[in-house]
Amino acid sequence: MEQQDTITDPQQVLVRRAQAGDTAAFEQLYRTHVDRVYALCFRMVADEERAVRLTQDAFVRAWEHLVRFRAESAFSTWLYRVASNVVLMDLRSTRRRNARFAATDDPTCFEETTHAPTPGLAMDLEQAIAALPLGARSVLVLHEIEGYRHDEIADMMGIAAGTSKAQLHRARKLLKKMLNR
Amino acid sequence: MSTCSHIEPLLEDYLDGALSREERQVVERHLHGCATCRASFDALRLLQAETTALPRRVAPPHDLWPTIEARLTERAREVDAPGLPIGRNGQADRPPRRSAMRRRPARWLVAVLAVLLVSLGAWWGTRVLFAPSWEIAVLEGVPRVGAGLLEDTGRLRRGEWVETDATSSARLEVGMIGNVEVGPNTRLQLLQARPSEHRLALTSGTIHAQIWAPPRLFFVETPSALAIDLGCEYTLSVDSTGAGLLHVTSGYVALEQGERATIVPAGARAVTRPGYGPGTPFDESATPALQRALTAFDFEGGGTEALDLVLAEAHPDDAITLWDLLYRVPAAQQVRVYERLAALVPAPSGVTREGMLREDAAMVHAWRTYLRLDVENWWEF
Repeated sequence: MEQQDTITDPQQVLVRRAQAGDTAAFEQLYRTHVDRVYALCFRMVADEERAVRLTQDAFVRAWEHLVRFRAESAFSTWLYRVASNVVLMDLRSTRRRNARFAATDDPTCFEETTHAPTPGLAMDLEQAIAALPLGARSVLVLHEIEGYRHDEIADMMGIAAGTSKAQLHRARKLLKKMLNR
Repeated sequence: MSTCSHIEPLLEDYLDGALSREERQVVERHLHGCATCRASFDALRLLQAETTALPRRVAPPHDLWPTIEARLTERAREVDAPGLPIGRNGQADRPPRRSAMRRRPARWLVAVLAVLLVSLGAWWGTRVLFAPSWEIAVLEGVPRVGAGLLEDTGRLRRGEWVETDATSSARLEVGMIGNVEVGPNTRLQLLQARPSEHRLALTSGTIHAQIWAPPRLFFVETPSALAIDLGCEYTLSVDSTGAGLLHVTSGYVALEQGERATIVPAGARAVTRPGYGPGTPFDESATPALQRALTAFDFEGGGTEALDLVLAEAHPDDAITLWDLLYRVPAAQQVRVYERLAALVPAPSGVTREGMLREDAAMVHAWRTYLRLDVENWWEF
């Protein structure tokens, strides 16, 4: 009996159909997972328009690489990893592009905080996360919300595991400060 | 009895479950008797609980599927031969590419080959048949892969070549870390396919690489330089003389040949020449005059006259060029290069000309960081 006949998990059936080129099946996978992927993108970049673009990029890349998905892990795990890589690549290239030789000697001009906190006002947690510097925010989202280990984050971001831990420490410290705790 | 200053740095590791059993016991004993550290830990634990309890799902502001579907259709048109439809009717209009070499040997030939194969023994089998390989798929035309013609998808084994003509191109999956598009009229060889080393040789033609991996896992050898991925996307071309042109569109690429080494960041290019190695990187907006002056300086013995032209033509976006030249020009010219660099891009605080000329490590680091060339720490911001 072929393996295909033994698959009963509806998710796996959809993945198999999508791997065979069925875009309707891929659309169902999209409908199931888009909110998780968008949440990841939005928290990482703290920008709605950019998160929309990256979510689209993530699904397009997942489609392109679907034949490489071997069902050794859950499809959702694989998809969120693809999405994380898409976001990290975008953050790297954007940061590089934006930072090119600005005529200033103020090093804090490169501290990218999309939603700057207003002094004296208590912030909610989502706002505070969005206001974190990019490196700290990325590690916090990947570790605390997406559940990756430091060694996995280190692999994804091309940093040492110790740096990932240091960024998480920095993120927590800044969050406590922003939340007046 | 452990002190608060000893315990405090351990609290986060305790929270994350990263302590040994003994360390855990030490922290727990301390927390039991210290209200200050207990309050500090409770605050940390509350913050983590709130963070991990944030909703995993956030709906996008509108339905993204129409755009995604349009992009899939567009992508299919790029990849497939004209006229092949892509549909959403549940049918496999565009099945993924599977192995399908054009040359399919007859059964008797397979039998003869099998006998020969066995007689060659385990060594050959291990070295060749089971050599590490990467998936490769046709983008256009019929590229040659190893000894066969690739019609759809196949495997490129270590030691084998991909050869495209004017009408063909292919897409190569670089293990699990990225992909390489092989342009028309290109010769590319897979030299190594280990998780710790992905290495190609490009002898002519053009490749476009997209790599999602930590630095120094992906290498491309050319006749005039070695391109080392530092987490990036780039296009690399080699002409019939072995000269190359690198254009980095994301991240960084290191170019090395002999003792000459340089780093090319996103938005910059660099020329390489056999016998010389990599030239000075230049921004993609650099004027033709500056590029000509660099060619003269790097490869034609242009000397001071060429350097004068480079300095005169440089704009703020050409800081990458001046930075690369700073420690390559003769000592007598270094002051001029530094002065021009500092005039175009104000020096970071605390950096002096004298310090830079004596290569003060902290000042050099400050400049590199300021110019976003501190590659090793580019996530530490």
